Amino acid sequence: MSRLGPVITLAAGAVLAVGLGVASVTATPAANDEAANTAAEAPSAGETAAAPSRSAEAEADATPSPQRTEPKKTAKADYGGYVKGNGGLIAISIRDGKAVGYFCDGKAEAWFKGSESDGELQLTGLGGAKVTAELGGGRARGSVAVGGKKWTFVAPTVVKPSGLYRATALVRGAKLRAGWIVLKNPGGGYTQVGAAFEGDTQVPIPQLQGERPTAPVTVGDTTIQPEDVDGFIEEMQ
Amino acid sequence: MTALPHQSRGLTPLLVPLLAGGLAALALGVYGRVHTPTGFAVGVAGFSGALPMKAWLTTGAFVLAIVQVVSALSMWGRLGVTIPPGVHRWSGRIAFLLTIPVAFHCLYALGLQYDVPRVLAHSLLGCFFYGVFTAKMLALPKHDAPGWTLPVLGGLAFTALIGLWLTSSFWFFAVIGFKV
Repeated sequence: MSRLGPVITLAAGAVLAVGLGVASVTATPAANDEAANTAAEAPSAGETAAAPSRSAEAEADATPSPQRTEPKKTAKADYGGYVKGNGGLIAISIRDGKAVGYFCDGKAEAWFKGSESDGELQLTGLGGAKVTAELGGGRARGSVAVGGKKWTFVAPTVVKPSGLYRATALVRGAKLRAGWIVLKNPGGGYTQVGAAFEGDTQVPIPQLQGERPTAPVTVGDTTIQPEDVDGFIEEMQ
Repeated sequence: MTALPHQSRGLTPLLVPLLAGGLAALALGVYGRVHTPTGFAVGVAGFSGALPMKAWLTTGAFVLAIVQVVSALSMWGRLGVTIPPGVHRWSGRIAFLLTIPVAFHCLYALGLQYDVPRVLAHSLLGCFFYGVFTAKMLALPKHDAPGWTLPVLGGLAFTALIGLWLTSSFWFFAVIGFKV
């Protein structure tokens, strides 16, 4: 025993690791989505949040690409995080290399659109607003320039219900539009910021339901239907 | 095991343990780098997520690692108190097994990363820890190994584990909070 004990200890560790491996391989295909959810449960936590972006890369790899020489575009990724020194939130979503972004601190807001290629993200908005970011390690890291000011941010990957939402409607001839960023708090609950405008006038924005952000909400006396990124990303391009 | 003075016959008896430990560390690092992380791994049930699971299991190993050092000091007659050797063995075994789901999740789901200094340090320490641990285990039965072998290897394993705890659990509790 005393000679073999240490070896048995090592072997037990190895067996446990192999067991976990087998269990993970078995569980992965069915539980892929949920797994990504669990893994990214703490959006501000670098380590786990790193996971979903990788699965996004895997998806990109999985898409049949006859030419490997083409710059690799991210198939699907969503990022959300705090803007340093500003307190606002930023959310960026990518679908097949097309990207949209939204920055909001509750007062000011800015929408961005642009593209992603090989992990480089370039987004522009109205009035010289700009987002430049690099993707990698499960996060988007870069800077956002709005209204002549510039801040940096690190936004980990997020999974629904965290992310970017938008709603538009026509009210008495004026266009009503609203945008939200929802971030799941590591300790439970959600942080969200948003802004709504009726024509050019900012109006109070309702809170989205944390668990079901696409449930209808009321702005003034109008019921609007928030859409997630998949619902409007094509339209924005 | 025993605190008898060893007949030092050079490093030859340590060749195999050190080589095996080095290979273990290298293999983990290469695996973490080469294999595509899955973003998902089976872990210990009962936690709200993978990160809290890892933070708490590592904390468990951290506490047991302190038991390891205290019981080792006792076995080497430095405490004046006799702690049964079983305490040292079993706290070590349990600590080691506690780290396995953590390391498995790290390597299988996330892979070795180096984009943030903390994560880089954590990744390297993780590989180093298993290397040193392997060397320590394989050196245990070699009674002709130099007398400093076990204290040094054990000390390195302890130091690596403390580093791992600081770069993961401590970070988690400080940044995210005490979440189960």
